Amino acid sequence: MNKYSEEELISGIQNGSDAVIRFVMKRYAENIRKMVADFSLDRYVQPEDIIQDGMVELILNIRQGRFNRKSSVVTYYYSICRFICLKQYNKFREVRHLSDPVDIPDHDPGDPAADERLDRVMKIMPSMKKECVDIINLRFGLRQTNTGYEIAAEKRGFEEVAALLGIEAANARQRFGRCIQSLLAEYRKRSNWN
Amino acid sequence: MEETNGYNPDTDLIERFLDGELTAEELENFEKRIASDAVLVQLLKDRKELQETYVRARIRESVREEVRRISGEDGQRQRFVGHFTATMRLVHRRYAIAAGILLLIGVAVAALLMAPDLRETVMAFFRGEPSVPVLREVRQEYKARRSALGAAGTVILTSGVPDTIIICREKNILFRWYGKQEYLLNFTIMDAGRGTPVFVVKLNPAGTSFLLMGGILKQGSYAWYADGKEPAGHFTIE
Repeated sequence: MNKYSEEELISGIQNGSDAVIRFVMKRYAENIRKMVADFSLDRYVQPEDIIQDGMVELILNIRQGRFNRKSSVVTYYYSICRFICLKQYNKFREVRHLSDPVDIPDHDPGDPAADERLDRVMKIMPSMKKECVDIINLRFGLRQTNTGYEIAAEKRGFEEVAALLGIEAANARQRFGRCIQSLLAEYRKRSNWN
Repeated sequence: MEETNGYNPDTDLIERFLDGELTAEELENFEKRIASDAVLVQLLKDRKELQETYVRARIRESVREEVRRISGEDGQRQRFVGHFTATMRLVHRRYAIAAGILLLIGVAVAALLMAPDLRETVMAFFRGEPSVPVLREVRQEYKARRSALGAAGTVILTSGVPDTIIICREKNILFRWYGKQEYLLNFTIMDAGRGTPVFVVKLNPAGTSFLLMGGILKQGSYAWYADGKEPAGHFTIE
């Protein structure tokens, strides 16, 4: 029997409740570890990564309104983890010389190109300078909250960005120009590597 | 992330275009360039694409951090356990079989080393010597009849450093002894009773300890060798 009601789970995840998120992760943790072992993925993937990646997807889907409540939150979380596992299985299938890919039921492959771009940017982010992170975040309309980043505005003008940073608009424009140019160069370079 | 040396003025132009800050004339020129300048088109496309992807990535990263923080020590511990389990599974069944075989060999060797009779018998077999039970029987007979029988003959070897002492009948080696020290060797042919001749070699290393070895000799002519090449002497068991 669930410790939390569905509404409590959803609002807890939306608000970044540690207790709720930990509860959901623990609810199927053992099943997920077993699933990773059943797929013989434990040589390549840590079960904890599947558990955490599944939770990241769940949080994003709930916060961005993509959870349609056709199933319970924990069941939805488990199916996300299973989906990640199956994707990993198919990814490592050739390495492991396994014969057949596993069908992923109701699998929406999404946009692989967008996923590749996302992966590329996430690899670049840790090497960005703080002044660039600050100004690009502001310019792109991101706002830091207690649960992390969220979209505050689609985009901010340089006057607003400059005011938030306490600098002149011309300086903000120039700094952003340098930063975005550098980021674009890295973004394109990594694209060429692929 | 690397710094770019040259500043591209089109970067600023695109930002002003995206902010709707271009004048009518600038906008007209921009649109004309868009129609013909593939580099500018690509820059604009990349800029839009980058913003969308960056926002997505930054939000995802922050959620990932949040999940990592909540998982905390428990996640780390489970990660360690998972890593350990995966490592153990890497030990394939064939390695387990090989380890089992090695273990069996180890047990056999240990048993061999811990059982003196068995060890001596095996070593004697490889050296072409009589087995331990035979030697033991000879010793017992020798001890029992020692006073009554006496020596049938004695050869004393005192010269040189005999690395190998071999007593053989024709080509059959009856006794072989390897030594690296100088020994005084007493070689005695004895009647062990019931018409069974016995040879006994007494090894007296440095005159401090005494080792008795022996074997049963059948009837026939025998030769003994000090170095394994030329006979050092002959004797006959009748």
